[in-house]
Amino acid sequence: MKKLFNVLVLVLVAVFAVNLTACGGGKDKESFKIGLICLHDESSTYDKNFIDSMYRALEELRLEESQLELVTGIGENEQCYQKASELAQTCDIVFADSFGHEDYMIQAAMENEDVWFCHSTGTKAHTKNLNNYFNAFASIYQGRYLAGIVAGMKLQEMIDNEEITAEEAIMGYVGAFPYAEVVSGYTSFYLGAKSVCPSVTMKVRYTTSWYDYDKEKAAAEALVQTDNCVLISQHADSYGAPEACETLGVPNVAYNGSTASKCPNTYLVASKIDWTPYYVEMIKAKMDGKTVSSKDYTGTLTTGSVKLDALGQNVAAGTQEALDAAIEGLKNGTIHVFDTNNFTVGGQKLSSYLADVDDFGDFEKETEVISGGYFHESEYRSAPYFDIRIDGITEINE
Amino acid sequence: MVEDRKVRTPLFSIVKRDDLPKYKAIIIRIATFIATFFFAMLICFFVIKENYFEIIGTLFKGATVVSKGKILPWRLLMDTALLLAFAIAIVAPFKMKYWNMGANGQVLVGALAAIVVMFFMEDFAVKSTFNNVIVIILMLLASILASVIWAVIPAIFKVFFKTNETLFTLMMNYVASGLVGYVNYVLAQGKKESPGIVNADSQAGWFPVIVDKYFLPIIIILLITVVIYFYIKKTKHGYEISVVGDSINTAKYVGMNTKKIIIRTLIVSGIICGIIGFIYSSAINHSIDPNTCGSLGFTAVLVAWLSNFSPIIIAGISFVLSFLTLGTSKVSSTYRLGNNDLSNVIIGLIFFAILICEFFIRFKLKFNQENNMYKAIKKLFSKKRKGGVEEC
Repeated sequence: MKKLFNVLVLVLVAVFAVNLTACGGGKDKESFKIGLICLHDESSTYDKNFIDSMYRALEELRLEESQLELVTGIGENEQCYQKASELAQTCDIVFADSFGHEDYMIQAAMENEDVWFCHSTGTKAHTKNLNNYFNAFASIYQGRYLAGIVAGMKLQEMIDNEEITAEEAIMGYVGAFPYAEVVSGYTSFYLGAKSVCPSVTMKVRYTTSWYDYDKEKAAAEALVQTDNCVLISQHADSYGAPEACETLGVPNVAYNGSTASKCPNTYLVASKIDWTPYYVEMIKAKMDGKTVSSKDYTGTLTTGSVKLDALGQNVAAGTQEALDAAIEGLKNGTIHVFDTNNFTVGGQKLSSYLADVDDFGDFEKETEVISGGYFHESEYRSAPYFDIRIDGITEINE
Repeated sequence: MVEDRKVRTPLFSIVKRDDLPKYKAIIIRIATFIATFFFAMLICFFVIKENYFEIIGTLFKGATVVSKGKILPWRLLMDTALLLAFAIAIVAPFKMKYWNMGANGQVLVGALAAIVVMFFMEDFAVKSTFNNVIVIILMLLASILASVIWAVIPAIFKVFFKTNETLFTLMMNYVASGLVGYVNYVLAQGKKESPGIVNADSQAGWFPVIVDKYFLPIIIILLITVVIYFYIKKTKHGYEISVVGDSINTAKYVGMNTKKIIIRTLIVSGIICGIIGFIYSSAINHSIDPNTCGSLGFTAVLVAWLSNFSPIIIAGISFVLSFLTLGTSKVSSTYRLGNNDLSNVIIGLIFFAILICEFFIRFKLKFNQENNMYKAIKKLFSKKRKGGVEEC
């Protein structure tokens, strides 16, 4: 028994010794290592978007796939800190994809100063101001605005064809949670539609879950059948809403990927974030030993981070031309999505608004975000902070 | 007619084995584990298509990873301790044949209560070290109280209304998850899903760190294990639990108050869950989400059951499972499998092997000589042997 114990101790010591010698890593291109922490795995459309973007970035940078360590199914708790710290031992840069990972990434960043920790969708990088911790998002509100134009064109066509009256141009929106990210998304979608169909109004129902097929389907059905919506879009991750629309024959604007193959008759367009440009920029900077001055990266239409999928077969005539003009306008700054001339709040035009840009956990709104006639979304930090309920949109809380 | 009726005897019967020496049982267990492990690694090899030994090396490295500046694989030790704690929490009820499937929920509500205290008492705690100690004690008490309530509700329904405790405790898990989601949402003032790490800057209500963040929690769990071992083995309460478990009617007949015993045992179970919940909130996560415990409460059921409720074997199996979980997760990430499915398959295989192994250690198959099929097979084999001899 004693011998067996001795052998066991020897084996354990040997294993730990192997581990200790395996620590560390070089900075040259061949030995550069990247870690990616995902909340779920690639069966979730949300995480798959990040994983696919990372592979595209590797290809673009001519790095081997074996230089990536891909960790999936990491909860928004201590597990994330443990994984991030573990990756820090072999990786030069570590990415995480879920909002709730942020606090744990910061914890790991503070303990591993030589490794960069890049967190998508987070809010605290600019206030924490660590040398090795960064946030990223994309101005997806631009993509939503463009998707809104596709929806508005469709509605206007339905009005012109006398399928509906101008008052019946009601859109429905299935949202996950009433957070700024969702509010910013549906408002930009609505403003895009309103820019080509002035009589449009919108109703929003929440599912209180980022991924719940049944709830999203039920919310889409309620919007159509109870709230008389004639077009649906969503900010949630399942196929619930698009499939409900396909069954009901109601046009749908998707998010995070085309649903053209599953819902060919009702799919109009989908907007999504492409994380590739961000991954390329950060990996390249770290590999070249450069410093990144801004703690927040906001991908735009110009950087190629905001994308629209191919248009569906049933979009209105002239949609592509309207889109091209809007894309041009957004890129050259002649169009601002949250132009205060285009919306009112309680019947009044907004000239000033304080938003909770600095996230200290106090939810205090401290930063003036309206100037030059528009709301400066995602400019003072990458994650959205537009949380104003504007006229023309009704949230249904049942 | 009666004479014609044939008596059917089964091909084999399962007989309890009591002649197997202890050392043999240990050797069988270790051999089964090693064989299954290498078989599982073979599956990994076919999926990953990389060097077989390199995969095994990755698994070992992942399981025993030592953080920067540390000399022990604390994460492996902590994961082992947590699984051990969950299993210890359900041992007493299980010994009583009270199938408590609600350890996850009981720990969750405990952790939630501790978080709520921590969240609202930050201002009080930061005033002095003494205040902070008071807050930590209050967190522990709140956690224990919440867990005990969560554990006792199904027990009360069981003893007074004869409800099924398996279903009841399972349902309580879902209620606990929902409650955590809701309270998190309220604490975050409806602006996000949770407040994240609570008191991240002030560290108010955080358990003190000695040697390592995980050192004290592991010591606490080991102490609980020793206490429960003595509670079950050496005390009158422990004896009563085993009598109720063997036969509730016998217990009633000898004058035991079975209702009291069941509720008291669940209070003990709830106290342990409360301490685990407190450890999660105060020492490990400092935050809470519905998946805080993962599926440890369910894995612990298997661990406790397979270990025949022996704390030493529970610790051993907990170590093996934590080792494999960490190791296979490292294999999945290093070879970029994109999910943890392979890891789950391997853990499943190991469980399956342990299950079969435990079965054959405890029971043996006895073939019935009178069974027709047995006779036919025997005849067939004897004929073949006979034929073979003739050919020679």
